Amino acid sequence: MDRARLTDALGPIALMAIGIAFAAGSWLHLDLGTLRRLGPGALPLGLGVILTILGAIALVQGFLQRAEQIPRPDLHALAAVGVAITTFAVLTERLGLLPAVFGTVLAMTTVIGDLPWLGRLALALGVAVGVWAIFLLGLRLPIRAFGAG
Amino acid sequence: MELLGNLALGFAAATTLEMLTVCFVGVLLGTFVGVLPGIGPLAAVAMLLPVSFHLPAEAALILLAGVYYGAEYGGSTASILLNIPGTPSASVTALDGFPMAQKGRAGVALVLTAIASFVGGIVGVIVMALLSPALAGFALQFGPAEYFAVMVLGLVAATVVGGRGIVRGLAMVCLGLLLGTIGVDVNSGATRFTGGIADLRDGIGLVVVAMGLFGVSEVIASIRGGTRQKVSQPLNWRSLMPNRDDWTRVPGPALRGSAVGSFFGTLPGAGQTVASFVGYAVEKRISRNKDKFGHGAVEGVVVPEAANNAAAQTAFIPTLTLGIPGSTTMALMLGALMIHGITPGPRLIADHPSLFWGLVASFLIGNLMLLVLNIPLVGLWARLLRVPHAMLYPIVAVLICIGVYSLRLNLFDVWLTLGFGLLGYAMRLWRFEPAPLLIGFVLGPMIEEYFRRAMLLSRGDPMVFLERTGSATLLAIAVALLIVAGLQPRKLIQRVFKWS
Repeated sequence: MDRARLTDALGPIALMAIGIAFAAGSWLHLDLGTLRRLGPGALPLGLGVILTILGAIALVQGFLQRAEQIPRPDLHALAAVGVAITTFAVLTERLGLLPAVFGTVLAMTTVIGDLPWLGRLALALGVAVGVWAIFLLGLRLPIRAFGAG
Repeated sequence: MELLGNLALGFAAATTLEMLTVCFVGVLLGTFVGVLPGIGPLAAVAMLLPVSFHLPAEAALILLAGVYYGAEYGGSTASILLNIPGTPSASVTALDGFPMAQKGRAGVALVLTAIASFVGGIVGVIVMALLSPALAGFALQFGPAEYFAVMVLGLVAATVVGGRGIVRGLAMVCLGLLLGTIGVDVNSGATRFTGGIADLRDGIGLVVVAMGLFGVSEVIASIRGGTRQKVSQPLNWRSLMPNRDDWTRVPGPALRGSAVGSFFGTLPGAGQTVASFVGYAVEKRISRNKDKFGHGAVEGVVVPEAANNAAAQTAFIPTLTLGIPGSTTMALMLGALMIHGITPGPRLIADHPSLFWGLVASFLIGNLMLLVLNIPLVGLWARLLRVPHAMLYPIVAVLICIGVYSLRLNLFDVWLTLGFGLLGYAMRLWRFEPAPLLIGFVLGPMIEEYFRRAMLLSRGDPMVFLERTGSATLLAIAVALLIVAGLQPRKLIQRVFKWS
């Protein structure tokens, strides 16, 4: 069993796990009802079972076919986006929307690292001003520009 | 004559200052995202969904639709100048468009694609105006069993699109349907699969799923793609004008492409990409100068653009008359309708005539705007391709965050979007298509509702779906589609190409 095949199998296995989780959840915690009056658990139970079966078929198919190399995840890009969205969520709560936007752009460009410092600051400032003009001034979205909630 | 009355109603609705502005903004943004490779119409429509909630339903749809068909116009620009399609359906345009650009005829190619797109778009709208009322009238006889069958057909069609194999596609549909069950069940009031998280009681938002799967994962995947592309085509007015020989090669291919595109657009799941591929293959087959195809034939850029723009318009037919989205973007349109409290289905045209006919009228106006926007501004759009990705993606990330947050002013949704972004990226790596998942997610609640209602009416007899002619026919078509897809659509397309 080579490594490529094993990583490839993780996808279908994850699907089977999700299918089993939904089916078990409906079976244990939800009312299945009768055929005439289906309960809230009926459809998720059926779908969970189907998903598990489909996952199993995909797993077998994967073993029968030539193994496909799963590409390496781009950790740098993942970090950039993760940092950006985290910055947005954390700063919006504590400082308000515009500082969060400024921080998000600054953090993301810093992780990507293609722009010089001055460029990053200028872009962050420009985007913050643009967001203020379009979303707060133009579309009047009810979001706090500055300050904690 | 009824049609004229309806069109008059539509134009009255679509020509107010607000609607014209919304339409213009939509097609302008659409061209913009279409030109830029990487950000597709889908991500753009997803990003605009939250903004559209603040507009009236008609304006919301006109805006989103404008982005969608505007992107089809813009998609050819990068195909021609860089040999990178701006939208998937524009990949066929690159076959002859890029060779034209290498011969210094990029301007001509861009102008001709704008004209071909216009012809295709207008033909598509005409087909839509003529066909939709008839189809809706037919579908009015549907009961819950037929609705269920129609949606199953839609879901099967969605899996066939993916091209990663039916098992993987169906698995994604199931996953989407399951994610749609999270939250309070409207029938019984029972809470399902929330894990005790109060923020999940109302279910996962469509915008969250769409932005995560398509927006965030797209940004992750393309952030470090080509940073700066060389676009060294000098574009001036003289280099834009097609010569007389070029002009004679436009009308026939444009009309044939529009016809092929109109047909494929109405089929759920086929969509613009298949339309432009088949249109190109047919044209190559009947053309007298076959050997020029692939080396910068004018017909080779005219046909696919006419076809994909016609298909972009006729894709609205099943969406608005049956409530089956033919593509992911159409699923988002359905979502937008539902959020505005409008139930998609055969009653839509009768119940909301100004919405439907206003949309038809706005398509005509929008296509005209696009023609005007595209020809003089060709040079500007071409220059847009020089914007470095390092600047573009942080802006996109901010727009995604604000879009999601503004919905309910809830930061939980922002975190959830990041989660779906990671899921979407993992799905890319493991070769699972996100499109069937989203379509399943949108249709899930409706499909459950109709299934439960049909079972109630039949007193618990599941045979009802096979006993009624309507639902039996629709389910048979779904099975047939699955069998055809089992024969692998890639091979079918290759065979069509060989045949040409």
